[in-house]
Amino acid sequence: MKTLWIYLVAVLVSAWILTPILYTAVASFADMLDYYEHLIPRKYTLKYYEEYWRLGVGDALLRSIQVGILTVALSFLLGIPAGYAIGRLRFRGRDVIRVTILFFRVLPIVVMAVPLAVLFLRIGMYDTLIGITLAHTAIELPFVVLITSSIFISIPRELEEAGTVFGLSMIQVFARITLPLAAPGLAAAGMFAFLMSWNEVVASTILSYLNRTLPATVLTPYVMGTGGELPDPYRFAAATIMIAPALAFMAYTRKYLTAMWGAAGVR
Amino acid sequence: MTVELEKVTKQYGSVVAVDNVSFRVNRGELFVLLGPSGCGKTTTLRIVAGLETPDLGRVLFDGKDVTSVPARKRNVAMVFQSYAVWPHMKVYDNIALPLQIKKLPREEIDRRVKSAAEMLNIAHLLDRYPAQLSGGERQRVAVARALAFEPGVLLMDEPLSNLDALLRVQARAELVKLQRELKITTIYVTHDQTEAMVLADRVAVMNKGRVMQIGTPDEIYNRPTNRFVAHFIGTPPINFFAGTVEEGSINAGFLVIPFKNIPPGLVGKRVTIGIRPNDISTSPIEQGIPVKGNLVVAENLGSEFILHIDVGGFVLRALSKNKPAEEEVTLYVDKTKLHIFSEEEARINILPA
Repeated sequence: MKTLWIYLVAVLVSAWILTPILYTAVASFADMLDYYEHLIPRKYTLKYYEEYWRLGVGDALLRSIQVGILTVALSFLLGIPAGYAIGRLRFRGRDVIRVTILFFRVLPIVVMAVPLAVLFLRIGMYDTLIGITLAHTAIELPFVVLITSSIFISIPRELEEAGTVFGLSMIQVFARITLPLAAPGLAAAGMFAFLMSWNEVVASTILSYLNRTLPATVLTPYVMGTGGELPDPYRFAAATIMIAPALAFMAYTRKYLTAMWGAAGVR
Repeated sequence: MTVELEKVTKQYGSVVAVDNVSFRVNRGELFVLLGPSGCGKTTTLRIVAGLETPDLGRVLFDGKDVTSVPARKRNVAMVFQSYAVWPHMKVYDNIALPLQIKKLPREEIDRRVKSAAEMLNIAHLLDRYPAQLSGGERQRVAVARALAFEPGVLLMDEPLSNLDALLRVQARAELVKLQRELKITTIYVTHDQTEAMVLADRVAVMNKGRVMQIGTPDEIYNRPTNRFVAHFIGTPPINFFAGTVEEGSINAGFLVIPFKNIPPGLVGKRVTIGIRPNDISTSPIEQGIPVKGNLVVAENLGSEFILHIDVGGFVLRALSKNKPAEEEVTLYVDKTKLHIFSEEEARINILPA
């Protein structure tokens, strides 16, 4: 009886979250007239997707993936050493730096993006992959630094000290002990950072015009539609284009994460 | 290898963790740092390892100053209290990694890993991850890793404190055997006096960052040089009572003990008299001074009793095989086993008459 209730609640909660997503996906294939007549459409079409494809959604998807990977790479390259230093080392001004990092997250992205767009226009980086990547890196760096520092703090110090005593240099300790132990956490952080870049729309829209990332590309039709009100199925198709790759990516990385050290895991 | 600490001091803020500590560990010796928690013994060990740098003083290995040599170049091995076995490596790799860093040939590494694993009876576990091992097995891996390293000095920081009581006794016996066989210079930190007594060639008893006494287990038990050591060593703990020095004797109220060769300057001074519970007998002994008292409690330890006996406002603890039948008891205090300490808590060497 008790398990029945648990199942019931689980089903309700899942339904609450999934129904809009599912309905969005279904309705994005609905024939226009049919959609307005029936709640659950009966005739289906790929028309909206074809039109988006013509608008360059394929290129935008590719660009989004490139920007995402580059952003993760760059923000990790800069963020991991900083996170390690803040998490592990004792040095003057550490707390000030920690607070300052948080402070940058307080600024609205729009405030950052507009002057950046002007600057990028002047130095020829407007509407480029690098430009958007740099902006995303700037947005994500505080997050990466703080998350990685807490990952490093969670690794027992004695594991590193054992490395030092047994002859490993600081770099060897990091590469052979700290990094492998941090890997599951870092992978999760990387996944999250990728999704943040994937979903980032404000800076991407402001900093590009023709070479847009996926959300920036579909944002315009999704929110306002060009030249007047856009019918719902077009919007639903735009939403589905946004969600589907993210869900696929999550499903894939989740499997990878749990398989990493097996159930034994890091203590 | 020999290890020497010369007037080593380490401060954290206003706390002096290690205060002017000096000792010398001889080649092949098992040297125990013993003391209550927070006495600075672990910090001292970490200074030897090179994980901490002393503020003052020097660390010498084989007479050479290594104070500024980084930990990884000191050729020391350490068994940590938490074992610090690397969880992402199999047991084999845990033992092998330090040897790979040393750039030993592959066959030599394999030989050393296997022989260390043999010694500690973990040869069948080499293919497992630490998470698949019990606490006792992980402890053995940590020791095997240290032994395979063939260090100049082996450092152990409370290596048995996370094991349950039975396993601890067994592991202790095995550690003694291994150390005596291999004759590795070893510094061993513990707060457990039994462990120190069983393992040590020599013990340094520490308190509040200072070395209180250095000596063989026998010396620190039988001739503690100060009140702290007398109190810290021995279970059940030693009895202390106050007395006043008179001409030719010390008067403790319920007991007057005649002494010869009392220096004239000592007469009239207050002293602390210590006697261990097992140096008090319930039956007449040759050097015993009789004291009458009443039995308050008898704690049953199984093989013997701790008797709490009121000797006139003061309760003495005595060890006895039997529980006395009557409440009124005569105790015999062995006068050759008395420890006399000055008001400054230092041992006074005088002989009973």
